[in-house]
Amino acid sequence: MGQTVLFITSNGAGLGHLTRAMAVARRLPEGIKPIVFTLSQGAPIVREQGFFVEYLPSADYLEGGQAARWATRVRWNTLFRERLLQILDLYEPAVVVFDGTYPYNGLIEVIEASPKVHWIWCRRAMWRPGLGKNSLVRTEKFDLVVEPGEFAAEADAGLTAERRHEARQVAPICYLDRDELLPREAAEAELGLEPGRLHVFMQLGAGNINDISSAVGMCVRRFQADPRVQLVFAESSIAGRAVNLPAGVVKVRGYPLARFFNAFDVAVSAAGYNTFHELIGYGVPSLFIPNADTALDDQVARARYAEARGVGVCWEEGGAGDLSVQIGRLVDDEERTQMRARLADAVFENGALALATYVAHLAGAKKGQVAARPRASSLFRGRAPVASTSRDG
Amino acid sequence: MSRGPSKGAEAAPARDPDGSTGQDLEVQIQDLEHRLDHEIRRRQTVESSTAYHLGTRLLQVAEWPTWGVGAAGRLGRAALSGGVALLPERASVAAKVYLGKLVDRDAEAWVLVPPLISARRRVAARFPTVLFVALGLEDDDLERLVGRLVRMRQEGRGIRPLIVTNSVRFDLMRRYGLTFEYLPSADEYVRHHPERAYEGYLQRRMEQLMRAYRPDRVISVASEVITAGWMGAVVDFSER
Repeated sequence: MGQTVLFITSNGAGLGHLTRAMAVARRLPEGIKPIVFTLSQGAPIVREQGFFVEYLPSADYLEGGQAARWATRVRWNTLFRERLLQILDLYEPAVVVFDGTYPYNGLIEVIEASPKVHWIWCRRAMWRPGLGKNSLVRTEKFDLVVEPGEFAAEADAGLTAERRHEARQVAPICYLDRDELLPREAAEAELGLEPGRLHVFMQLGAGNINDISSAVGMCVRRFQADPRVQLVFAESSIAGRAVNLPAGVVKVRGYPLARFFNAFDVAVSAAGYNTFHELIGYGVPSLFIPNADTALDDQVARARYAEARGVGVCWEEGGAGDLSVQIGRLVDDEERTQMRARLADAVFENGALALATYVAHLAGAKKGQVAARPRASSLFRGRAPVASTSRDG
Repeated sequence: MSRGPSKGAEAAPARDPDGSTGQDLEVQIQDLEHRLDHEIRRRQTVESSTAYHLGTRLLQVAEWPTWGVGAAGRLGRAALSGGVALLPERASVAAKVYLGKLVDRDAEAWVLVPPLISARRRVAARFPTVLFVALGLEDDDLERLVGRLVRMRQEGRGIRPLIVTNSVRFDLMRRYGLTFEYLPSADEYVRHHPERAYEGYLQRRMEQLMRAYRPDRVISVASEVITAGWMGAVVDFSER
């Protein structure tokens, strides 16, 4: 029987944790079985993508609503611990990869109780400055910390930036490789878009599209004033209710939407890790409207960096900038062409294969043994990935 | 080398031979509502007694013998999270307020020993937990179940439902704030783990669910044909 690798993901604002986990899982060699244990409402997507998924409601949803309090969290950690112990007992994974920003008490207890398993923390960087100390003190519980690459790393002012040395660096992790995207014509045909028009992809979680005072409503109004534009609105894959769209707006829903990115000339998106790196990596000039209300993810810094590098534009809700002006820059042919050229220079490898190769390597090595370097070591930036069992940090 | 994206289609769940899942569901929920009304009346009678309150406090102290240690911090955290209403004598020591509560049932401060929860949540905590085994329900039936549970909540028939489902309609339960647990279907499980028996998996999961949530009642509204695996877990639990 082959080895099993367990991926544990938090319940984030979007699908970032799950997407990174699946990106690595789908690149594991044949013979290594991935299992995803998630707290995310996106668990059905994992199943659709062909993985086996185990789900546990996060503490916020345990009692209904967002009212999870101290006593509930204590109880939830017990639930989590027992469930994880059961999963370890059932599937006997050789490696566990945790993708989340806070290693829960229940997780730490299980790590301490399971010394034979390789424990990896896939720790996305770019934390909001000063936040996350409680998470970082748990670093030493893991055998290895891996930091998925960050295009905006130079602008990273979070606590992990000071501790980058303790983490293995891989290139940014994306679900799809560039050659997996549909060609423009095929993507246009599948989405029902008119060839020759300026196709704009919009993916903004917050806001009511029919409220013209919301960012998403303002964007729609501004784009619809341009007769060249054909607007496509991406509905969240984990949203419960369908959104009523204004006339002429095409709706798209599904996963992974990046398959269609070659069809788009322009995108409007929040600046979460996943979509941000897909848009940059696949060369789509974008307007980033960062979500400033995330727990830890510094979307504002990421979006500003994209603008500073000239690969996108940034507009912050409540900020001084003019949204209409920023959109005007994107629909301007000359400026967009320049942006595309800079995006072509900014291309990066997909770090998912490197991490998958390393995870597979660990799965085949007994903990405590020093093993040879994995073949894909050249894909790692920074320190080479040796099979170390020393605890980083 | 790479897996997915794939479009794995789930086989339609088996239904009871007479296809009367909906009717069974209706009957079971009506029965539950009837029992709940009775249970709520019984609990109201018991909980209005002074002996019950005193006994509850003593049990809490016994369960949390170190309640006095760090009580101020816990109080602060709870107040910040809205867990405790404003205290009538905020400056008084925790013990004084706690003891005061023993003799004054109407004081604002309810409990200063962990778990620090407000009076509102204490009432909610007394609602019985009912575990609905809803494996194999089709979307329509699941929607009906969710609708009934929401209506019961609106009518004040308090239960804490936990839905155990293999449906991927997470959005449906999440929209109404219902707690649910997902169990993969037999087809799904066997596809990924052909070397393992689904029955054993189901039994272990149900045992864990029973331990974790300690339901007061288990109701099966499953349309999937399920052998004694999970039921065995329920019986084992109830006999402990």
